[in-house]
Amino acid sequence: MPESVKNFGTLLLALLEYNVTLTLLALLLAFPAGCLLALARISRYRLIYYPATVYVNLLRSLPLLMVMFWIYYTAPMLVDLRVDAYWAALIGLTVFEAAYFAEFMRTGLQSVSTEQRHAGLATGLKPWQVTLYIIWPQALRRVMPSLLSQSIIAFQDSTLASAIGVREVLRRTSIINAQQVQPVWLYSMLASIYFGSCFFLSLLVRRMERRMAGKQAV
Amino acid sequence: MVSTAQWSILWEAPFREWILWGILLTLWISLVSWALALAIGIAIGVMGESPRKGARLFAAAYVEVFRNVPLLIQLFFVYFVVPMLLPTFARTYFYDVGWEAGSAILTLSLYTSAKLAEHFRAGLNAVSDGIRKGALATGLSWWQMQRYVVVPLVLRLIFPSLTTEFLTIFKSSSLAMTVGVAETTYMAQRIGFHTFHWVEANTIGTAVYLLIAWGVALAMGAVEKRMRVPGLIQRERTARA
Repeated sequence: MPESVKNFGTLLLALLEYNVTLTLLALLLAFPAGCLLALARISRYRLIYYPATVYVNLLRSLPLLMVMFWIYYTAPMLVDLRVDAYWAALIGLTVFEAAYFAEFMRTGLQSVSTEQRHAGLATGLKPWQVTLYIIWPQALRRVMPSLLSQSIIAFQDSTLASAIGVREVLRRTSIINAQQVQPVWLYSMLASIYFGSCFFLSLLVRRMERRMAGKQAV
Repeated sequence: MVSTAQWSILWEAPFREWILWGILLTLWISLVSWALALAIGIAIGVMGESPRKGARLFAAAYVEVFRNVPLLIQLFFVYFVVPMLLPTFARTYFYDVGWEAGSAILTLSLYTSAKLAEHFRAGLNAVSDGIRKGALATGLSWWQMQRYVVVPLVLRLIFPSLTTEFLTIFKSSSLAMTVGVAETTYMAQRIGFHTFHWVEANTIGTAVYLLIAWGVALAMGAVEKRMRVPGLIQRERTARA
C-alpha cells in the first residue's frame, strides 16, 4: 500500500522535525539547569537552598500538562507576552526535566563520600576546585544511566506538546486519521515507531550501565 | 491582555462544582488504576521470576512494550483502536458507559503495572532463600509460602515504590483530559477558556495537585515507617514526591 508508506514517511518526518528537536533542545537546556539546581540543593546558604528546593519539589509534584498550560495559556496573562506553541512546549519540557535532572544529580553528588572532599582539600585545592574536578566527575558517572533513562522519558513526554497544538507526531497522526479514518493502522504505526526508537535507546543505556558496573567493580 | 485577578470566581456557581468534580474524577481514576496496576503488576512480577522460560519471556516483553511507548500514545491507542478490535455489541456498550474514563483507567493501570512488576521482581529477589526454606519447613505448601510469607514481605519491601507510583499515576491521570475526561486539569482549562481568568483557573488546578501530592507523600511517609521490615537495610531515602 503506497499510502501507508507515505503515512509512515510523514510520521517519521514529524517525529524528527518536532519530537526529536524538542527533546534535544530541552535536554541541552535542562542538563546545565539541573546541575546548577543540584548544586543549589546542597548549598549551605539558605537563600540559595530554599528557592531551589521549592522549585524542584513544585515541578516534581505537577503534571507536565499543567506546566505546559501555565506557559502557553496562563503566562501571557501575567507578563503580556505570547509565545508560539512550539516554544511554549520547549520551555515547559525544559523547566520540567530540569527539576528531575536536579534530583538525580543531587543524589549523585551526595553519594560521593566526604573523605573524597577532605582528601581534595588536604591536597590544597580550593573548595570549588574539589567540587568541579573531584566530586562532579564521580557523581556524573554514577547517575549517568538515570539521566539517560530520564532523557528517554523526556523524548516520550514530548508527545504532550500535542495538547497545546504543536503539530508533532501524535497530532500529525490524529490529523491523518481525520482524513483517512484508519485508526487501527495509523496508531499501531505510531506506537511501533516510538517503541522501536525507545527500545533501541534503552538497550544502549542498559549496555552502558553494564559496562560501568564492570568498571566500578575493579 | 493582562486581566485583573478575580479570585472569587473560583467559589462561584458553576466553577466551584467543576473543580470539585474534577478533583473527584482525578482521585477516582488514580485510585482504581493504582489498585488494578498493583494486581496486574504482582502477576507479571511473579511471572518474571517463574521457572518457565515462556512466562519469563512474556513478562519481559510486557514490561518492554509498556515502558517504551509514550503513555499518551498508549492512551490514544486504547481509546481509538481497542474498541475497533471488539465486536459491535461490546463497542456500543463501551461507548454507552463512557469509554473516555474507561480507556484512561485501562491505560494507566497497564502502564503502571509494567513498572510495578519490575519493582515487585526486584523485591522477590531481595527475599532470601532462607526465608523461603524456613516457610516450607514449617509445613506450608509452595502456594501458602508465596501467599502468606513472600508476597506480604515483598509488598513491605517495595512500599516506598508503591507510593511513588501512586503519585506518578495521580499526575499522569491529567493526560486523560486529551480524550475528553473532565478531571482536574481539564476543568482548570475549561474555566480558563470560559472566563479567561487563566491565572485563577490554573492556580487552583496547581494547588490541587500540590496539596494532594504532598498530603499523600506525608501520610505514606508515616505509614512507611511502620511498614519497614526490621533488620533489613533501608534503601537510601531521596526527596519524596
